Amino acid sequence: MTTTTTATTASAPFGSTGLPSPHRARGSALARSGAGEAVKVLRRRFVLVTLAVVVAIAVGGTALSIVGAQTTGGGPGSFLTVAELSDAGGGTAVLGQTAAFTYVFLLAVFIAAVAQEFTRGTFRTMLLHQPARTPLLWGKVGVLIGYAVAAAFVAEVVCWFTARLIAPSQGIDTSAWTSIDALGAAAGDLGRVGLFIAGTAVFATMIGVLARSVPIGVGAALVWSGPIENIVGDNWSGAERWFPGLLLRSVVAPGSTSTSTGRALVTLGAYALIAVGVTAVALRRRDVTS
Amino acid sequence: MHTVHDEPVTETVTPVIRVDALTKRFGSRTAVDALSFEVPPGVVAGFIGPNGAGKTTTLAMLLGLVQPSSGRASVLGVDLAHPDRYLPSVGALIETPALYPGLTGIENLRVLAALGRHDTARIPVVLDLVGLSARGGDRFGTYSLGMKQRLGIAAALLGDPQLLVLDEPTNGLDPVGIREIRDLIGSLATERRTVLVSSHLLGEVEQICDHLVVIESGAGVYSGPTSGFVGSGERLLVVAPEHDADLDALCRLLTADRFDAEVEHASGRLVVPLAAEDDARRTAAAVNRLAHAHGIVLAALGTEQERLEDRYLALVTGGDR
Repeated sequence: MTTTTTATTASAPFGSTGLPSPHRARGSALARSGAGEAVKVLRRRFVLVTLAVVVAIAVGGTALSIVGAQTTGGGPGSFLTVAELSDAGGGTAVLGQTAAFTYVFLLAVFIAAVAQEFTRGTFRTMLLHQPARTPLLWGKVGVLIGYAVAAAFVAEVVCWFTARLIAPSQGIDTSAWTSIDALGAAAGDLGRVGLFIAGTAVFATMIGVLARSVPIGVGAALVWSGPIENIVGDNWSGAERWFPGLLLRSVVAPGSTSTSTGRALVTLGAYALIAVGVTAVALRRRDVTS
Repeated sequence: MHTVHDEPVTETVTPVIRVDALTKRFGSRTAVDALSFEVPPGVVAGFIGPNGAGKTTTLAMLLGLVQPSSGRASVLGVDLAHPDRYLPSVGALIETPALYPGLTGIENLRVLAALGRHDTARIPVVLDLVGLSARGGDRFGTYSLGMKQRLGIAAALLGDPQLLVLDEPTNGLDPVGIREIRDLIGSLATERRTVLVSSHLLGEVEQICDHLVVIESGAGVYSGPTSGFVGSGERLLVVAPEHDADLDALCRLLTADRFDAEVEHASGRLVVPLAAEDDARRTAAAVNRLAHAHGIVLAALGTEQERLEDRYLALVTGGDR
């Protein structure tokens, strides 16, 4: 129906004219998305704020764990014992326990980070520069996980030094904390925290994409991880084997629940696959209208 | 839909955008209804229509953000189903600029440069183009709406795109800003770059666009060169007597003397449509003589070309203004 004053538009078949591969398309979509997110999280002021929060949580959590250390008992839901803290991994054992306490906070942060991209419209803006939706999202989340793990490493160091300062006052022997075994235990603790962070991020990403709203997403997560997981968990013995929040707690703080780390990892792996699938389908099928 | 064939075909040009019966339904509501149009390369194309006509939805489909319910389209010769293949060569600002409020303008552009693998050396260039060089280091959240629009345009220009799609780019700008953006858009269309700009500021569109796509209620109303749209509008002889009381008498005189005159009481004037073959100068002289012969003094006598706004309103409202 249209012509110009000097020429007619050709009836080129749809999709028949391929564009030359532009130089801008180089590199994987996932890496490009990660690079974009890295620009955000590696800003000086953002790093400084993160450090301040991490140090505060690490110092507070460690102090609480050391001061509250029990001479006997222990087990699910209780503080570490003096004996456990005197082991080679005692200096960093509090990291897992502290991380477990931050579960709801971490969940909310990841949900907000994802959902906000939709409410602000920045996901739309990013799609115009990198249109592969799934890699765009997971590249961003991947960098956030890496950033959080790096922060956990800083927290672990802070935990160790803080514990070292406070432990003698509580009668905890710290002589084993500088052994090779202590290094191995520290690596194990960091690995568990890394898995905990990654698992939390995967579930939070799914919630953020489905909700596309910070209040709705965070609200739903708070209701689930607070009243439902804990109240139901207190009254149903199977909850620790099936509820994701409690399974993540099993991973990050072994012994804090009755579920073994291995079983928790297998169940969480299955959940994570489902979450990634649901997220991918939601991303592909839903229009980006805001 | 109006079709314009102004001149004989002299060459064949592949359209930058080709839309064929594109439809989008949101539930029972049809936002875009079998829309068809083409945009030739190297033009500034205006995409106009009332609020809610489906402009943004159409642009969102072209940019891979919204999936069409039916119909087909291609951008830069690539089917709509493969936005990853054509979007690297497209720059776009759709709806309001959505960037990170806590990041500076430069940081926001660095994020997008990393995402699109754009050369970061382009950042100061595009900031300068939109007049934001001095504020690039300020946080986006502190920008005025006009500055946000400028940064959105800068972001769209980052990749030096072949096709630039701008959705209401002058929203929130003051008159000076509107003129600057208008001049900028006009300068951006080159042999290798096409600009598609949606706007409700018809005066702006008329000044910068050489091609028009007009839609209403999701359906196409016109697609073709701006000259074909506005040029097909009527020329009018406008006659204003010194006293409003003479309007009706003068109208009767003119009508009796072969003129198809119509009174516009609100503006205190008469309008006489001119046929294409009419000589405006001679017709004006005839009207002046007639008025003078009956003792009516004319305070104004001249011709008017129907403007884009008049033509647009006539099309979308059926002439009922």
